[in-house]
Amino acid sequence: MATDKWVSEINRRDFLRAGAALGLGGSALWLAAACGPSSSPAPVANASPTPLVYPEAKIDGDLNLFNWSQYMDPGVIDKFAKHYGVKVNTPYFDNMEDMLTKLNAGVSYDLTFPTMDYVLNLVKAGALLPIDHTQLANWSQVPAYFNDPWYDPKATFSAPYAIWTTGIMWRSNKVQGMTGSWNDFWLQAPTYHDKMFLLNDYQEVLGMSLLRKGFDINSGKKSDLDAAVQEVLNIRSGLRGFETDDITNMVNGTAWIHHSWSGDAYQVISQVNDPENIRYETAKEGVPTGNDTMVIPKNAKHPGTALKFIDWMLAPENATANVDYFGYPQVSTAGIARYQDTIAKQYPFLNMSLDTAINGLREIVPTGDKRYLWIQEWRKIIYS
Amino acid sequence: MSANRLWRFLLAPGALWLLVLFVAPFGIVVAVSLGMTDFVGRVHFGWRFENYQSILDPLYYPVLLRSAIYAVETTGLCLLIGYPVAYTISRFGGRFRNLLVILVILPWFADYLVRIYAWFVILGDEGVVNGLLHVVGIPGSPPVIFLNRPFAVVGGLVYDYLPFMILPIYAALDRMNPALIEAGKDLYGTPAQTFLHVTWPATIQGVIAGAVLVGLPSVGDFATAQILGGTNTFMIGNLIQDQFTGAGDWPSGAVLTIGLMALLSVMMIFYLRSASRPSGMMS
Repeated sequence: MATDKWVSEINRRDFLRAGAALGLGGSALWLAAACGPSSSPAPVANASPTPLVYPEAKIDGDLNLFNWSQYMDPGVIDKFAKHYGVKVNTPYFDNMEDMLTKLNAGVSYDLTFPTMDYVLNLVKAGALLPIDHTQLANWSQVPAYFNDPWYDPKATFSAPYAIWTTGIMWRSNKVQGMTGSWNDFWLQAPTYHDKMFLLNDYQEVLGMSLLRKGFDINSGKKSDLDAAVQEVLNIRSGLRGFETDDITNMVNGTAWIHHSWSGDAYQVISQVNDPENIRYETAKEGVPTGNDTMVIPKNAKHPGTALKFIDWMLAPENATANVDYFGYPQVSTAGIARYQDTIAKQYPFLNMSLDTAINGLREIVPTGDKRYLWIQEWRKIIYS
Repeated sequence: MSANRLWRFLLAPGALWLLVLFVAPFGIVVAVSLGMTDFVGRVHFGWRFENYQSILDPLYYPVLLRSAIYAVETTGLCLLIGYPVAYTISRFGGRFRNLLVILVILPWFADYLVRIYAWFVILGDEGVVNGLLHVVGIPGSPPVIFLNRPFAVVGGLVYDYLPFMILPIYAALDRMNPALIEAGKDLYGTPAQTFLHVTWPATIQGVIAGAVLVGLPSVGDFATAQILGGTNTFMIGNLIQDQFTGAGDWPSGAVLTIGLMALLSVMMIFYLRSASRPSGMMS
């Protein structure tokens, strides 16, 4: 019944029918709706074979930069603003769905940061502007693989941003007996339940529980998902919460064990008074990894400035400064080298390489019926 | 005739305001509720009345029940705290009455989020209160967990909506003739009897107004549960937000929004009808 609310492809007939519906229901309400921002999605089903129009990399206004919070060095942004005499606005999103929701509400962002699987869908939907590498002086910093990544052939619509792993962060002065397994959440629940958080992210939580049970991280089988969800429900009453802001929870002492992203562990290390007590582990059952990207949405008002900004981030001095701040390997020759020379050396448990992103276990955002299934399973956890 | 026209003219800005900021967005919500979203979350309009079936999804039941319970608890606590406050200000405030009323409202000049985040500083695991409890020797690390608990959410709601209970009760007490209380005493009523038979009936309209002003918005509140809640404190407001920003499911979010608005409207109409009936005591 409700399954097809998430159509994986919108077909032309559906679209015409919807259009006709709008046209016929000529009341003021419907007109208001038609004029609303949501009417902007154009028929995109068959990404048209028309030649790509590349925006020109030149400053064409202030930059609207839409990113996760604490995911880029504000110093690097300030320097860009000063250098080019533009203003940079930095609104934040909480997660990928939040980002899509605001993008679809018609807000114009010049540059945003989807994860690889979301790029795949945004490209398919024709929602992005192409990037002309020849106009970017620092494109040579992009490693070979990311000139033709799996999610965006020939890197036509995206520039790589950062690599992460998902694991468990904990305070070694408070918590004993971590074993390098996703099972640690279940193992530690009886002792540390009030100090333990999972990420508020359905892909991460379900993926983690699937891996622990030995299932495919992207399983579409209801029986697998039912089992994985039941396992999370078994410890749910012992969890303090579901939270994406693992940095704040660890820094202010609310959490001692936190499902978390690798670079956030580094940010906690750089913010607490006792960095030697912060640890991060990846699980032997499987390590979710991936990379996110910089893309220019189709309705960007200042794609030229956005291109200039991508080039700015790829410049070695900015990439290294950014790595020092946010603690993730930024995908550029200089960024990766900086990460491995500093953070990975000092904190071996944060060590990762380019290969981590290329050959790692990927969480792929489900679409269509599978998406409905995943969301319903997640809701069993958070609604009950 | 011309005065009549002037009045109509004066209605125009308000009407325009409502049209632009309420009617039009609501039209969009209705339109979205009948549409569907594609694989990158874009809305495509249609006439999918079957979307409204989702309002009966059994997954929602615990959330609806929880919201109702929290709202009732919030209203009850606000009444327990608010009535004595209003009574004290009204009867014993003397020349400081207006000042005291302003003090009740004063915290609401600061942004809601700022006030809620203050709770973290005061009640956090390593916050002020736990620091004191630790000093006096209460064991545990932390001694007491205040946040991410159902009572933290109800506490936050009470904190947020309390003035909406105090002010109407205060107004009702203010309208009441104090001679009525003296008359009650003259008739050998104990203080409790006087309150039950004189003061309470005379201020019941204020109590009901307060209950509506506190209860209805707390049913739909989402920020409190999001910030102070834990794993088992999901409310209707969170449910609606989750449809949009958690699942990218605009139609279900719109359906739930309309459902909630319908429910609250029915309760509001019920209240307005009962309030418009003349009450014997007051007149």
